[in-house]
Amino acid sequence: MASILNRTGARSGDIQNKVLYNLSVDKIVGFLNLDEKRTAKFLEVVSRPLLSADDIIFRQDAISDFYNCDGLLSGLAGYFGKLSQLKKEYEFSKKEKMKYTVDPAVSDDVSLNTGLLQLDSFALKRLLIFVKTVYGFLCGFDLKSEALLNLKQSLGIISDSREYRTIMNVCSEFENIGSHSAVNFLLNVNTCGEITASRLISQDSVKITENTVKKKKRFFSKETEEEYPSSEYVRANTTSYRKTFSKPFSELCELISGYIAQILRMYADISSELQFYEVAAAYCRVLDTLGCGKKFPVFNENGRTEIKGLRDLFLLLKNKGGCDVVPNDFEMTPQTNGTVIFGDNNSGKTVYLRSVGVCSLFAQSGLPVTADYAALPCYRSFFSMFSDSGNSNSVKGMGRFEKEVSELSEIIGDISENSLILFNEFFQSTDYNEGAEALAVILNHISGLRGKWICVTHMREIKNYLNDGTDYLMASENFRMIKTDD
Amino acid sequence: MKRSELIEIDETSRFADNILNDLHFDRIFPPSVLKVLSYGCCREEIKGRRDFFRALENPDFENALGEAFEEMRSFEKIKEILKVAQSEVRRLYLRVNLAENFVRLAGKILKLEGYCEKADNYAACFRLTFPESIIEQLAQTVKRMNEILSAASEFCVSFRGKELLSKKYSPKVYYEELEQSGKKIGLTSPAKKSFSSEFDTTLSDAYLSLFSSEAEEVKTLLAKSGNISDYDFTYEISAISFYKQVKEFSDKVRAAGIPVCYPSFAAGKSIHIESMYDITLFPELGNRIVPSDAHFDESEPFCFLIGANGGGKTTYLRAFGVNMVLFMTGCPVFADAANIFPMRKIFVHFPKDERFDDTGRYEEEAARAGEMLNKADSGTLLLFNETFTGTDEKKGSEMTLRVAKEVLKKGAFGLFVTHFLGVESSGFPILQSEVVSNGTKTNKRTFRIIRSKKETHSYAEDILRKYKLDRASLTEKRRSK
Repeated sequence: MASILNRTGARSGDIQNKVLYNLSVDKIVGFLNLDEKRTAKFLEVVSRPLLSADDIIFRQDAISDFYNCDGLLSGLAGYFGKLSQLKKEYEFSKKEKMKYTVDPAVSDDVSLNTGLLQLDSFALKRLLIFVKTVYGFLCGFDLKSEALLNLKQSLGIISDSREYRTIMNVCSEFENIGSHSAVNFLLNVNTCGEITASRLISQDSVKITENTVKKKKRFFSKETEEEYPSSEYVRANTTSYRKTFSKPFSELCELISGYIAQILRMYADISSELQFYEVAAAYCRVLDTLGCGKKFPVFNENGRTEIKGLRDLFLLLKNKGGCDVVPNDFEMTPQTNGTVIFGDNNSGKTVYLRSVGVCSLFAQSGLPVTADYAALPCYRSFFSMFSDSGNSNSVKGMGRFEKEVSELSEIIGDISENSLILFNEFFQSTDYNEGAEALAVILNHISGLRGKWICVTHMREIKNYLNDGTDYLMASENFRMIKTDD
Repeated sequence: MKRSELIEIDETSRFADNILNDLHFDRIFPPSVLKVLSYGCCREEIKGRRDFFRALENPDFENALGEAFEEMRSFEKIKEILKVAQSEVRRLYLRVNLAENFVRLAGKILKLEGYCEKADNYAACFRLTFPESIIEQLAQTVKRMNEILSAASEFCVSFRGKELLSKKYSPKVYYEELEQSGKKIGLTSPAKKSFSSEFDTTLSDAYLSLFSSEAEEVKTLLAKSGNISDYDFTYEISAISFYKQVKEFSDKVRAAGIPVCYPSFAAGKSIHIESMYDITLFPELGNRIVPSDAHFDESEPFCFLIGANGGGKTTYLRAFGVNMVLFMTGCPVFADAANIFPMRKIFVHFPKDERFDDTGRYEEEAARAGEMLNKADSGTLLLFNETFTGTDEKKGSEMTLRVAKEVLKKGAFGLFVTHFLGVESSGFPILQSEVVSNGTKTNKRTFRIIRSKKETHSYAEDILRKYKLDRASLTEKRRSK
């Protein structure tokens, strides 16, 4: 199956349901003013972060191709939209034709099978024309990405081949076949004297002549004798042969409809995959309009995170400009277990946490990020533990703290090496000392699993309980995050 | 069943109709096997079948027989189709197919030689009718006929206002063209479903006219080949099927750990079977069937079998009857070992479940018993199960003893299961179901049948055990001291 979204064998990680909500990714996409279908597709793709740099680059390159080649994305979207339409029309027509029969494969109705053969041949022809057209369209661009080159190659295998013409010709013949058309069959007899194969053969395969030798005049030459096979007229009662003569039609229908299904299946996902790229393209365009820098991150396998000049995407899109959004850096060395962020209220701690989270998530979806530079690891899974008001979805009789503990207990088993867990003011609805100690135990446990975490908290006491290898940041009055040992 | 080289049936030695049903043979064998089991055999036939079953234990013979069997079935199947074939074309092809099958079958039959007398005789008889030179000649003819038909196995039909039949003319087959083209561009085609359709008379005539020279040549060759379709393998099929099915069942039983043996012929009139099984219980109980011995000779040709209900009396009777029938029909028996005099007749008397509108139960049973005794001679085995229960104990006991005396008078062998206690003091040997004390008030039935020593059994062991004074308890006490 052709895919322009995922490389063959690409693996994707898991993200906890709440991550997109907590990081306001849905709102971020909402700012792009795209329809529901495209938004949903985009969120679906972002919720399956890719796990290898090669898979991410595959998608980054495709985005670059769409970004750099004018008309490519809209053209392809148009073509594959038509493919979906073609599929619908074919299925509808077939359903209409088969309304009065249970199974065409066992039907001995010659006229029904002839009709179906016409329909299938017409549909296959349209599909092949579609393949050739899209191939021709892609040939008009200087494509660089593996995704689009693969698609082009896959279309080319069909449309550039000699077989393309053969199949088209056969389909053209069948397209015009009618129940009263002259048709020829090749029959096979088995050792028990039964007819075991009945196949439709080309019109010119049987020469109608009552003489076995026919004289043929040729210009500038003598009359020649052309050998024809002997023949015999038969006044067979064709109704007793319905099965024999309807079989080749139903077999051909099965073959052709099988081809149609295979071609449709091959390109079934492209239309929906293009929807992701449409959002990605809109996202890039908006960033260009806003004058914000955008960069494709680079990936490393040593677990190092280094982001320079990162701006919160949500604020950028909400404020429609980059002036008020303060850029920040973020760094975690391979030795860092996690980062604790302290700071006063409204000092930008949560915004900072969100910007790092969105940056990582978008990066692993192959999208550019709003930073001057980003070098990231590929996280296997994403979790977010944001404090709740305690009102929403609260289990009866369960307090806010208990609810947080309960939520944490649900995901703790899924955390492993290369997980990223974002904590925002968690466990603060209890005694701070107790909350801090409890949270530190959790964070140390995650570190022990070699997962990474970022924790926004007011509980300064947590420092007393956390293991070495923790970075501490302090949000300053001007929304800058400053590294602190204090 | 008619005569077969592999199974000889003596029509005069047919068992009474009720026997196989009363002995529950229908629980383990299909009707086709029961058909063969309905006739007793002479000593020579028992020996011949026994050797055949033994030979079947050789996988080479089993395979060779299996292959011949399949070819025979295929031959008969083609004949059946040939009988109902509607078109001349079909008949022509089928006759060639039949000849080809016959050639193959002949080879398989000759491969049966060298394993046992019956198979040797059969192969020799076949060779006598069809010497190898004739088969070789037939094989050549078949080869030629196949070549001719193969060339005529493809033809075209054109529908252009009027139908036209023509020989194959290197046609472009759309399906194949599409299939090959699709394959080259990575498209797969569906698996083809099998299809067959008969020629009708018109098409058949047209075909024969189109391929007239080919058809004539094949007809001539067929005429030279003789009338193979007259040869009948149905008897052999039934016979081999019998051997195969009995063998299959025996193998299953043996695999479950139950012994299977081929009895030896007793020099004098006696029956000795060690650990015999009522194998009709196999589908239900598997290897949990309890075996018992059976010993009859001229000094004690008749026994009564008494005992508590549910102790296994009828099962014993059935085990004895079943294994005797199996022996008398040349089959393996289900026992550790057996040495048996080949009886020629067997009669079984089981109570009937049906209503007795015209006569009472007693009268019906007495009449049946009388009939059995009238037909019995010195080579007869008679088995009675709870006969004469339709009357009072006194009369029942009298009748039971009269039967026993009559059996002795005839010089026959017999076993009589009864509840009438009067037989205990009759002087006839008594068998009874074994009961073993298990340390509780209720004693356990072992379902084994043993010879009664006519001693009063007080079950003292039960009481001793209850007070811990039995041997085991005392030994234990000693040890503990």
